[in-house]
This record gives sequence, C-alpha cells and structure tokens, in this order.
Amino acid sequence: MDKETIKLEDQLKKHFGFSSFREGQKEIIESVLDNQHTLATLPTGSGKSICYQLPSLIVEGITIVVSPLISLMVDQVKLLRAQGYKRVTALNSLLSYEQKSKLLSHLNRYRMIYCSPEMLQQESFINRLKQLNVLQFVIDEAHCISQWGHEFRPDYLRLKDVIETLGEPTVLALSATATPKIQDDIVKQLSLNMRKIIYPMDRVNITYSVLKSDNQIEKQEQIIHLLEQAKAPTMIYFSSRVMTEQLYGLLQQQFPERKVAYYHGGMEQQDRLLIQQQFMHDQLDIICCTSAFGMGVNKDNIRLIIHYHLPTNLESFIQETGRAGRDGKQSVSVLLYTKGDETIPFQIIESELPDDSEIERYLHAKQEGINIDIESELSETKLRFLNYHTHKLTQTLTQQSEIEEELKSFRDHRKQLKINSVINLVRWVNAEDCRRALLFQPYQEHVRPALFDCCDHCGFNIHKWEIDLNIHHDYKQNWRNILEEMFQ
Amino acid sequence: MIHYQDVISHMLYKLNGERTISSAFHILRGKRSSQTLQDIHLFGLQPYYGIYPKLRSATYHRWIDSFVSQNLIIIRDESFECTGKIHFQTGNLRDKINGFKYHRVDLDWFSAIQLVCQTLSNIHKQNKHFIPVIDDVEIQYQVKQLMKKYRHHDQLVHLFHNELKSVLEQIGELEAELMVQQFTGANRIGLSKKQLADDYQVYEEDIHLTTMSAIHQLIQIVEYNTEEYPILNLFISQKRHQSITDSAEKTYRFLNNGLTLKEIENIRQLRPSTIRDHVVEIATQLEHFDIDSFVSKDIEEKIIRVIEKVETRRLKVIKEQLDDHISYFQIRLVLAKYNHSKVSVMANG
Repeated sequence: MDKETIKLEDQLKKHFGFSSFREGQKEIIESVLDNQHTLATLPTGSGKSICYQLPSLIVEGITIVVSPLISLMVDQVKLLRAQGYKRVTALNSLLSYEQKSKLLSHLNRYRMIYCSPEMLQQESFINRLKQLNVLQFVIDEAHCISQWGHEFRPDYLRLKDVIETLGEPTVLALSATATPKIQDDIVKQLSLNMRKIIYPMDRVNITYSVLKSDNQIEKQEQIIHLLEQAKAPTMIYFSSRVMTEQLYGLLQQQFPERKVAYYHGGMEQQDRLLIQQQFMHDQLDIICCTSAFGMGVNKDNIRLIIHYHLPTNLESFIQETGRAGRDGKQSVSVLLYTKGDETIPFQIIESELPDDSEIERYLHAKQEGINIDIESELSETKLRFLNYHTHKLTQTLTQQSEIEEELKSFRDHRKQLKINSVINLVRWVNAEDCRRALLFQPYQEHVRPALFDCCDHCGFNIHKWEIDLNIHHDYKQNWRNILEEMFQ
Repeated sequence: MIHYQDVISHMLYKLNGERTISSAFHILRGKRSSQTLQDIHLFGLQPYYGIYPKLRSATYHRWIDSFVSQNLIIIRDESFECTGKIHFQTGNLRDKINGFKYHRVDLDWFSAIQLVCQTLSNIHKQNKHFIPVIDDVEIQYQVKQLMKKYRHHDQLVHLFHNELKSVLEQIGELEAELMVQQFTGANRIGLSKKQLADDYQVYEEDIHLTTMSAIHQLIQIVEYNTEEYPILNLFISQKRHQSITDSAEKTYRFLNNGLTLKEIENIRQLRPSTIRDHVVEIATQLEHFDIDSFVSKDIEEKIIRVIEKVETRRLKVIKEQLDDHISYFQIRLVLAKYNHSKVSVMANG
C-alpha cells in the first residue's frame, strides 16, 4: 500500500466515518485528484456523492456541483452540514433575491457550492465564480445532458460553455442510469477528453417480481397480502398524491400494529422533513410516497419496494428500486400491474410537454413582448422546454411559422421518446425472460447473477417469500416519560 | 381539544351580517390591513387574530361550504347570515388563546424551543450529527447563541429540562401531551400534526389550534415569571408589538433609514396626509417609537398640559387651546405617546 492510499482511507474515516470505500469510489476519486476529466457510472445507492465530496475536502479551491433537482440539493447540503461540514451551500430558484445576493457576496466562504443548471446561466453568478478558484466541476445526473436520456434538460447543454468560461476545472460527470449510447453522448456534448470509469449498474441483492391483477380492488388485496407476509421496512411508490393518501388510510386500518405514513410533494416542508427523518430513524415501517420521496435518503435496511403504479420509464424504476438493500442484504422489488395502468404515465408525459395551442400562444406572447401571463400559466418543465428551444431556433430562423413548426416537431420527438420508454416498461412487465437480464442489458454486456433469488421468471415465488424483522415500537405515551427519555 | 368548527362558528356568529365571509379568513391569517385590525377590535375577535397564518384559501372555503351545506349560514352577495342552527362551545377559550397579543412571537418561539430540545438531547446523548428539524436560519442562529452563552452544556440540559417540565405542568394534560409529541430528541423524531390528528381521531386543524393555544398559555406563563424561566424567555422575540399595517411598516423602514417625510412621500408616491397617518399609527403601536423629530420637548409638554386640563381626546378641542403653529399631526403623536404612558402607569399601579 502506498502513501496515497493510506491517506485516502484516513480521510474517508475522518470525514464520513467509513473505514473502507465501496466498489468504484476510490478509482473515481483518484482519477479526479489526478486532474483527469472523468465520466463515471455507479449503481444507485452506492454512494456516488462521496466521489466528489471527499476530493473537495482534500483539494484547495471550490467545487461546483450541478444538480437537476432542488430537493436533492437541499437534502445533500443538510446531510453534509449535519456531518459537521459547514462550508457548503446551495444556490437555486427557491432563494429570494435578497438571500441570493447575500450568498453571492459571501461565496468565498464556501468550498462546495451546489447549484441548478439554470443558475449557471445567470451572469452575476458566473462573474462571481470567475473571481474564485473553481477547481472541480461536478455534473450530477449527467445523463440529463443527452437527448436520448429520459430526463433531458436543455440547460445541461450549456454546461460546456460554462466549463470553458471557468478555465476548465476538472470535470466529473456522474450517472447511475447511462447506457453506452448516452455515455458517448455525454462526452460528445461536453467535448472534453474524458476518462471513462464504468461500473455495472445491476444490483445483485435485489430480487425482481411483478404481480398482475385484473382491477384495482384485486391490486389492493395483493398489497395487503404481501404486507402480511413481509414485516420489514417498506416503501410503496405511487404516481398520484391522492392515491398515496388513500392507500395510507387503507393500510393504517388494515395494520393497526404497524407504523404507516405518507409523503408527497404537496405537504408542508416541515412535515416532509419529519416523516423523512422518522423513516430514517426506523420509527416507521411502511411509507406510501410519490417519487418526491427518497432523494438523498440514506437508509440501509429497506427490504421491500412496491410500485403501485407504473413509473414513467425504466430508469426511474431502476432508481427507485435501487433504494432497497443498501446494506447488501436480500431485498425485493414488486411491481403491481393491472392492464391499462400505462394510461397514467401517458397522461403524465402529455402534461409535461406543451401542446399546439400552448406553443402558439407562447410564441405570440413573445412576439408581442408580453411574456408574463403565459409564463405564469405554463408549468416549469413546459417553460424550460419552450425557452431553450426558442432561444436556439431564433439564432438560425427568422420566420415565426418556421420556428413554430420546428418547436412542434421537437416536441413530438421528445414525446415519442418518452412514450417508447413507457412501452419498454410495459414490455418488461409482460416479458417472460429473466427480468434482471432484461432490465440491465441496455447498460452492461454481462449482467451478474443474483446473490439471492433472481426474479419471478427464474423461480422466485413472491407468495412464498416471508420476512419478519419483528419491529417493535415502544412508544412512550406520557409526555413526562418522553422528556425523561430525551434528557436522562 | 379546540375544534376548528367551534372557532369558525364563534367568529361567524360575531361577524353576522356585518362583513363578507372572507373577513374571518383574513383574521385567522393575521392580515395586516387596517380593515382587519379594526374588525378584530370592533367584533371582539382579538384572540383569533393570526392564529392560522398558513391557512389556505381552499381549506377555508371547504369549511365554509360545509357550513353552508349544513345550513348553518347563508351566503349573501356582500355578506352572510347565520341561521339559528349555528352553535359553538368556546368555554374559557379567551383565557387560553390570544392571537392579537402573541401572533408575532408564537411560532418562532415554538420553533426555537423545538430546536433547543433537539440540540440539547443530542448533546446529552453525545450525538454530534443530526439534521435540524427547524430550517429557519435565524432561529438556528439564536440557538447557537444560547449554546455559546451557557458554556457548561450538561448544566444547560438540566436547566432546560427542568424549565420545560415545570412550565408544562401548568397547562392541561392533553395540551402538554400534544406539545411534547411534536418534539424531537436524539432517538425520537417528533410527530407531524397530521399524524397526531390520526392518533387522536380529530382534524389536523384541531391539533393546530390546540397547539397554538398551548403555545400562548406557555408564553404567558414564561413571560410573567422571567426569573423562573430564563432559557424559555430568551426566545420570546421583542417584535410582538409591531401590529402595524404593511404600508405603515414600509414607511417605518424608510424612517429608520433616515429619510424625511417629504422624501418618503416622493419615493412612495403617496399623499402627505397618508404618510402622516402612518407615523401616527407607528407611534400608537410601537411604544419605543421616538416622536422627538416631529415634536419638540417644549411643544410636547404644552400639549400634555392641555390634554390634562381639558380631559378630552377630541382633537379639535385640544387644538383650540394651543398656539396656531402647533399642528394636528403633532397633537396626534403626543396623544399616542401619552396613551402608552397612561397604560403603563395603570399596569404598574
């Protein structure tokens, strides 16, 4: 073991309390510390963030972390601060003008700055960064840069210019869901000479299973039956807030001895924080949630992930099931499917992109110089799409009608891509081959064999799977006892 | 338990026929408009002012719809009317909730206490790393100041625990229970209001209102016994008396930045009389507000002498007794300040 190795492990222990690296982490960190632009893929739940957090603690200078999701950013900053690392902050659209300018003037106090890609389009921010010593530039969820990806974010395409403006700091592009095609696209879009560090995406300790039903009532019976057999930390994903609350009500009635809670984006920030923390502290057994939950949730012992609805694509499915079994023990994914369930993701896709009349009204408003009304009317994703493409198109086209045609054709292209993604997922549900192989073949040549049971097509029978972690909730009911326990 | 239906019924009963249906909503949210501030005094609804700052319009309208469908009220064009069926159980609610007095301090105080509780419990269990349940940076700063002030954290844990226990013994058992269930410690994350509502089989709104009432009672006990509760007292903010309208507050901020009335008129594009009304409002509401830059000590004394002589608050009568160059504006300012000194004399006597 050379000197360098000893040092990295010491730093890991000192800052994060782990005594050894997980697969891939060390190689990526060494590459970054070697000042090599790096593209790395690691499966979800394998500790991607340590790959840039640790170098930022070692290297002098500032680390920029571009992250597409505000909630993810906020959670990361909170976690780091809780670990005692205070020189970290996040710049995003949630900040008021005052908060933002205050933060900008004190930016030199921080070593790690999380920001949304949109923030990097603001001149005041870029100018401020130019004055500082930015040495690392991290692109989290780097697949967002690719039009082939399920979550294409136009603003990611501008990162190339930002990196140039900042004098080319060491770039680390990270993803947990990048096919070889998308990996190539990331390198191409950034036009950097990048070292690729690709780790297999498959999770060997997760067993995959699908349960079909003829209608919603049968589906609910399945879920109850499933939970009777499996007494262990469980997440149940839903596509709608209303269903999340409804099923919560049902399960609470059905399982009075277990602690059930729900979580979705429509709840108050304070309540969201409490529920999330309760789940982390093993105070809850079952959580009914939408995809809003789970960003940055570091809970090791989740044993069962149920999908009540179809996610909008395979990548989300891999990401959400990937929250299970971070401790390496056997965990199970169950997707519940009733024929026709795909209409929900189709509706979601429909609502994410602007329709013809929205495109027309948007362009009209732009021409008249009255953006405000239409901008407040459109959702953030629609507006992001329109702003980016219109800006691009006006550089080459002058005819309003041409721009309109092009916008509509871009929109159709994106929509088709997303629809295909859902169709792929339905195909996966209905396929008869090994689920694990089908799920991960697009990402890697050889899918590893399962560590425990593989899937329902390889002999696993969910009806025979039983687990009892014997969770016992000892709730002090009197306030005097609660206080006593806190302070004695 | 305070039930929201009782509170709403009581409010609508008092406002019956005189105001629009949304006036109760504005009162609950603590809207700082002169209309709302006037309404609470006129209809005796001070306890409810600002006790539900995050109330959503959709929620309120859902309540009202259910009142209408139960035939408790009838909505008219500009107003509404209570039918004979409206009923409520408010008991001694007036002693237990005081929104007008505490709406500026209640939630911040509660948040601070929650964060102190979480911090000290974690320190006590030697757990350095935890995610604060309160995000507000200002409150986090205050709690940090407390940690600096008391160097011996073991002792602080002990003191805080004792203060909390002692003050909670003085309110109702249910209220104390609801309060503490929301607290977070080292090994236990507090429950949300929704979770408590499900546990107690009541509405989330009921938990909210009962918690607010518990907070008001606790603050009252703490602030009247400052020596017994030094730590709990630290977090009662001093901004409570600023029940001024938003527009007056803007003027107040300009005044604090050293602008003259004339300059404020120009910047805000308001009439001189409006700005003067703001200054009077500020002087009426903020005890510490200094009127010296508008009224010299000499004139102030003259005005006070007249006030005491004529024994009236009628401006015209007072003005007639004074030199012509003394303005109504100056008289109003002195009256505002004079009222404060009267009140404090009474309180001390």
